[in-house]
Amino acid sequence: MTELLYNRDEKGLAELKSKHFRIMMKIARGILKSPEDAEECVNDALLAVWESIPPEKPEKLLPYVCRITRRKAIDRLRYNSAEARDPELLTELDECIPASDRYSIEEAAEKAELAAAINAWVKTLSKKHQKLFVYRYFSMYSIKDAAKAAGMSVTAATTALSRMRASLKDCLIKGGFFNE
Amino acid sequence: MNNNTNVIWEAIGELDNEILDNAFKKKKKKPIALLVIAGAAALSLLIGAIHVQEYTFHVNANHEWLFDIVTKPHFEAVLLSVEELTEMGVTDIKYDAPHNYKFGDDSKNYTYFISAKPSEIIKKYNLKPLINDNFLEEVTIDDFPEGMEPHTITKFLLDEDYDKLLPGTRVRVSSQDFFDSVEFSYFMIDKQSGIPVYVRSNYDINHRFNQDLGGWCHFANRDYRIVDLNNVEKAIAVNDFLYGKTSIIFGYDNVFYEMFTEAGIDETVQILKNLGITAE
Repeated sequence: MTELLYNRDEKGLAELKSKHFRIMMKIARGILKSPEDAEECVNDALLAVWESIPPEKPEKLLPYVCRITRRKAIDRLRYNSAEARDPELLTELDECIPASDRYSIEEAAEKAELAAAINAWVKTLSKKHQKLFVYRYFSMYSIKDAAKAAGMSVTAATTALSRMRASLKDCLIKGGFFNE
Repeated sequence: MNNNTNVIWEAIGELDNEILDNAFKKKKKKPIALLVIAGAAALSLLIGAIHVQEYTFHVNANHEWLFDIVTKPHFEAVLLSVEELTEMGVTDIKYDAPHNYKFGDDSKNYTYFISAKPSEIIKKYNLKPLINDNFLEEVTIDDFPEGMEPHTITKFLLDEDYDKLLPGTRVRVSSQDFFDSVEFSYFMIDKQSGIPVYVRSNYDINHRFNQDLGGWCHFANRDYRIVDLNNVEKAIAVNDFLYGKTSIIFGYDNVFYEMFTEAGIDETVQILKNLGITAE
């Protein structure tokens, strides 16, 4: 499929839509309140994929497409302001940052280091917890849907997510991203 | 929201391929256990004997009929009027563009979709649906493997979260050429394996007497490959079809069925058995 897109063959776009439309829609719907906005966001994401390949040639198309969809949905969310499907989700990760911390991450290099640290931390989780984390904080599913996707009960998922946030906080402090 | 929280959200957006791949990779569905109906009980649901047909018939590029199959017509189907369809809740009937066939009736070339169980709709046409208690008519999007997802079922109704596929039936009526036909398309789930099955059935309504062949003849306006169900394993075509990996076309009770499954040959044979399809 990537080859088709790279060669500007429209079949690639049709195939992309047919194969990944659902996951793209799920990600967009996890973030945005309105189904119409989500659908528009998926269309924007498809266009962005079409326009970015080439020059890009992603090794794995699905994660690439998911990232673009998520970015588009977040952009749309910012544009709509306060129209998040699950407003509580947006503040949930505040728990990972110590209340006393005044330091602000602004440099691109530091942001890249932070992304690398989070990647490394996620890899320490079990496959099931990785899945839960991705569905909750990458795809921004509701706790119920994220629990279902990871094959867990809502109670178990809620507890696991709370522990993960605490563990991520420790990791970020140890990594020097925040002060205790 | 803290500024740094925004940065964390952005960083999570950069999770690497391996993590995302593992998370989004589909797990193979576990078969659904058949609790009540099994084995011999299921066999009691058989709805008639199979007509084993090994012939090919089709229309060539010059619209000349090429066929070598003669069946006894006993079709009871009656087309529903537009008023009846409206009463049933059909809101959108899509008429085909006027066609070029000499004997056609443009008012009888249309398709509609209705959010109702196929078994209920097919019965309204005075026909026997090829569905039994071994199959679920309510299909969820999660039941579909990738490739059989919404794009292939745009005619079917989805709830706003794209999670649930509401039970639905697509009906196509055609009066091209010499006969009227009604075709039903629907999805169902084989309870035993959990595999989604797509069925397209074609019932011809009127038959034309053909003196040359000395009897009532069954015409087809599509290219059918009728298979020998005594040798069903060989009859199943394994390929990446639009609606599934495997395809089989068979004649049963004088109706032509085209069935697609996202399964291998053995599972497809079992699904046919669950449908009550066995060779005579």
